[in-house]
Order: sequence, then C-alpha cells, then structure tokens
Amino acid sequence: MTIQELSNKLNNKEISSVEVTKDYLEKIKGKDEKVHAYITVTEEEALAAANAADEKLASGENVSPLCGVPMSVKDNICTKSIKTTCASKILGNFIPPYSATLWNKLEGAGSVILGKVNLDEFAMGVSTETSYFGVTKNPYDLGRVSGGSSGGSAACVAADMAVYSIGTDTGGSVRQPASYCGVVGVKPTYGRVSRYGLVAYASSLDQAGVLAQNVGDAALVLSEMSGLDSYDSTTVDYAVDYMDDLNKGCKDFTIGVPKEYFENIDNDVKDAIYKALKTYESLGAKIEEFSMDTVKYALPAYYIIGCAEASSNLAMFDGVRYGFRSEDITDLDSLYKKSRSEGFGAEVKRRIMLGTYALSAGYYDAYYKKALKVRTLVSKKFDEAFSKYDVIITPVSPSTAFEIGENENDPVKRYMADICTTPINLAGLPAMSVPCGYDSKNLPIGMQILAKPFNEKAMFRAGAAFEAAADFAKIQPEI
Amino acid sequence: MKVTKEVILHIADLAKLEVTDEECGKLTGEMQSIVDFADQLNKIDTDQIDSMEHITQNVNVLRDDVIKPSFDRDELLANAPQKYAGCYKVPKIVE
Repeated sequence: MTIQELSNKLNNKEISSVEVTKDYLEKIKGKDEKVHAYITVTEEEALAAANAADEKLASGENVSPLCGVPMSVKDNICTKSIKTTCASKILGNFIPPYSATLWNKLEGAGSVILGKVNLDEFAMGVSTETSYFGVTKNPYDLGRVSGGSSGGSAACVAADMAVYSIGTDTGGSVRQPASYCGVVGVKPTYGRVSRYGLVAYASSLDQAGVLAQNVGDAALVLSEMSGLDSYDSTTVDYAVDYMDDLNKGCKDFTIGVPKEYFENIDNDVKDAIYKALKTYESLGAKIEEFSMDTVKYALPAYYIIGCAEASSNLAMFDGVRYGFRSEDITDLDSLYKKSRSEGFGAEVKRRIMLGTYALSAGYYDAYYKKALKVRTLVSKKFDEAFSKYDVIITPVSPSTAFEIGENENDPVKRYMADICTTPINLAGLPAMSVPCGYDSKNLPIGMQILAKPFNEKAMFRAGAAFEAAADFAKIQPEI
Repeated sequence: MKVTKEVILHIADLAKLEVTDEECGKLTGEMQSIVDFADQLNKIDTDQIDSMEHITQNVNVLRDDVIKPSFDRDELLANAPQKYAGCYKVPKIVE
C-alpha cells in the first residue's frame, strides 16, 4: 500500500495504525532473516507511536498524511534514545541524546518508526557489503546486493517491510540502491533538508532523501522534511511546492540527454532508458541529445573531495567521547590509534587514508585543490544545460544489481557504480531514480531525472508523468 | 604519483590509524590504483578556474544570540567509554 492509499484508509477508520504496524512487524519477522535490511527493529517505539497516531486520527484534528504510516530510517540518522550505529563497530552501541531535525519533523507528523536500517559503514560504499552487521540482500535475487549505501532502505521498501524509508545520498547512495531494488529514490537539492543529526560523511555533498514506492509518495515525504533549520546554516527558506503541478504532465518539457552518460553502460540499461525517452516523446516532451564531456572527471573529483571531507569529519571518532574504545592501550596516542584501527572497517580506513593523502602537504594542490576546480567545471556545465532543458535524463548506474562479492578487491571498479550519480552531488542538484524496466534476469533498472537547483517540482512532474504512462509490467520480488 | 610503503605509514600516522605489515602492502597497491585513477584529472586545464568548496550562495548566516538550555551532562556522558567525576576519562597525558 502506498502512503496515500494507507492515509486514506486511516482517515476513513477502515484500519488503525496499530493494526498496520503489527502487520509490518510480522512481515519483518517473516522476511528480514533472508533480506537483512534492519539493524534494529523498534517494536516498542513503533507500537507506542502507532497508538499515539490512532488517538490523533480519532480526535478529528487535521493530521499529516504521514500520521500513522510505518516507515524506517537509515542508521546514520540520529534518532533520540534509539541506537544509531552507522553500521560501524565504532558506533555499535551509540544512543544519540538528540534527534536529527528531519526525524523531529517526521516524528512530529506522526510517523511510526519500525526500525533503523542497514547501510555501508558510514555510508561509504555501493552495496551495503561494508556494513559491520553484514550485507543487505536484494529482494529480487538474494545472491545479489541491494546497492548502497542506503541498501537497507531500498530493500525494506521493495520487500514491503516499510511503506517508505529515509536514506542519505553523498554520491548516489539513495538513487543507486533505489535503482537496484526497483523503488523511487530522491536526493533533493543541497540545502533542502537539514543535515543536523546526520552522521556526516562529506558535509558539502551529503543530503538526506526518500525511498518510496512511487513518485507521489516521495514528493509527499520530502515536503514534510524540507525547510530552513537554524541548526544547519546551509539550509534555505524556499517554497516547498513539489505537490503542486505533480500531475500536470510534461507536454511542454524539453528533456536533455547527455550522450557521455550512456558510454560503458550495459545494453539492457541503455535500452530501458531509450524506451522511456520514447514514452516521454509520446507524452509530447521534446528530447534533445547534447554533450557533457566533464562526466568522466566528476567521479575522481568526487572521491577526492568526499574522502578529504570524510577524513576530517571522522576525526571525531577517537574513543574518548562516545563509541568503541580499545582495551589495548598504553597512552593517549595508542588510545586514538587502536580504537580507530579496531573500530573502523577496511573501506572506511581506505577512504580516510585517501582523504588524508589528498589534504597532506605536497599533495593538497595536486589533488584536493584540483578536484575543487573540476567541481566548478562540472557545476558550470549543468548551469549551461539547464538554461536549455527542464530536466535531464541519464542512467542511474551502469548495470543492474551485481553479485555479492563481485569486484571485492578492486576499489576503482567498485567506484564505477557511482559514475552517473556523483556529478549531481558535486553540483548540488536534485535528482531521482525512477523504475523504468527490468533486465533479462528480471532485475530492476532505474533512470535518473535531474533538475536545476531547487526545481524539485519539475523533477517530480517528469517522474510522475512517466510513472503514469509507463507500459512495462511491474514485477514484485518473490520474498 | 607513486604511493610507497613510507607514504602509507606517514599518512596512517597523520590519520591516527595503525596498519600492520600485511595491511600496508595491500593498502599501497589499492591506494596506488585510486591515485592513478585520480591522476586523470591532470588532463584538464584548470589554470583559470576558481575552486568550489561549497555550492550554496549563503554568506555569513547569522542568528540572534538567545540563551537556550544545553544538553544534560549525564545524558552526554552516558555514551562515554570511560568517565570519572562528570568528565571523560583518558590515560595520563602530563607527567
């Protein structure tokens, strides 16, 4: 059931939030042993929130459409009094004394939290395989990854173990798992949603986003999360207007298609997106191919900037104030080194090392400064493109979900899964993954719709128009 | 640029990480492949390009200085691995 369907039933008293919540908790018990989307299931908190939602609904007061709807939250978003692990040993027992602003908003709207879901450790990865708590499997094929880093969020929505989920996206971490699991995944414009209470990975790139069953649901949840926050000075006070015009179609749209984004992409993925572009044409949109040659430079620039910021952000994990502390210490320096070395996993250490390297004396100009200049170029290219196009359409990832363990020892090959998504974070644009078909193995394919900063409205409108007109049969995972 | 074992050990020390001999060998190879990948950025001329640290246009976001209650000390210390008399406890740092 979508949020909108469920909200209608709750408001008409056809069903209670407690009933729906119990039903979802049962589904989690039945399916999650196989999928492993959840790190923590919060049964007690869920039932308490459902009870409160039912009271609110019964009182007849005007409630949010999210009131009483069961959902999940990625485990790198602070939820007061609920364990927030970042899928890391170093934060394995961390119970935040405060909530992220976005969770305060959703909780205030009456959301029912079913639990905290899995991710790559500190959101660093493309498959959830770097999670300290084990991999989240793809509901469409349990031998394959769910994508990452918000793999738990994507898998729990795909397998109907939550109505929707909140993820975070630094280089594609909402969109790529959404694509692999056949759900809608939205990364809003940088500054739309407060980052207060997100455990930072790369502060100039991080944004929280939504994974949902359809475009309308995603727009609805994002409306509730957005807005200015005095705790995050990068947020802005712009109109939240995503629901307006959602169903107005895209007859007058000009859609840009950057040809370089289709190089080295699997044929099944390419074919599905070309077919989707035909659908747009039949809806009256104009399609224009254009060149954006900066794309291949965006990925290395992203890894340098992302890792540089991560190496600085993750310095806070020192075994002193919270989290894991090694037993094997002799002095303060060994406390830091042992706690961090035993507490962080291999990928996190690799990225801290790369970031430290790029920021260290002798390499700063060659790598970090250079990457920041390339970021300017990438951003300018998008500015130029959006002077001509309402939205831009590209693949989300070069392939569909890969097998667990594939390319395990080749970090660069792994990083390629993000080639189409990282440029968007460098430029801070809004982007979403919308399901657009399946490959020959019946694995889901997503297409990426981008818009200019703070024009989520156009992005949602294009997504909703395609969703309503798409002529492929939806395959439900057999789980 | 060439990533050597010495570079890895130096970077690990800066990052407050310990690497075993085995890890050092593996990391040297992995870091070299990532650095080679990053070196392709040198193919683009960026001499006249400004760097972009942040995409927002916000400058000096100010707020009123209002007194608000801060976190409760015990609540914050609840997550500390070791504490003593309302403080974080660490090994002796001054002789």
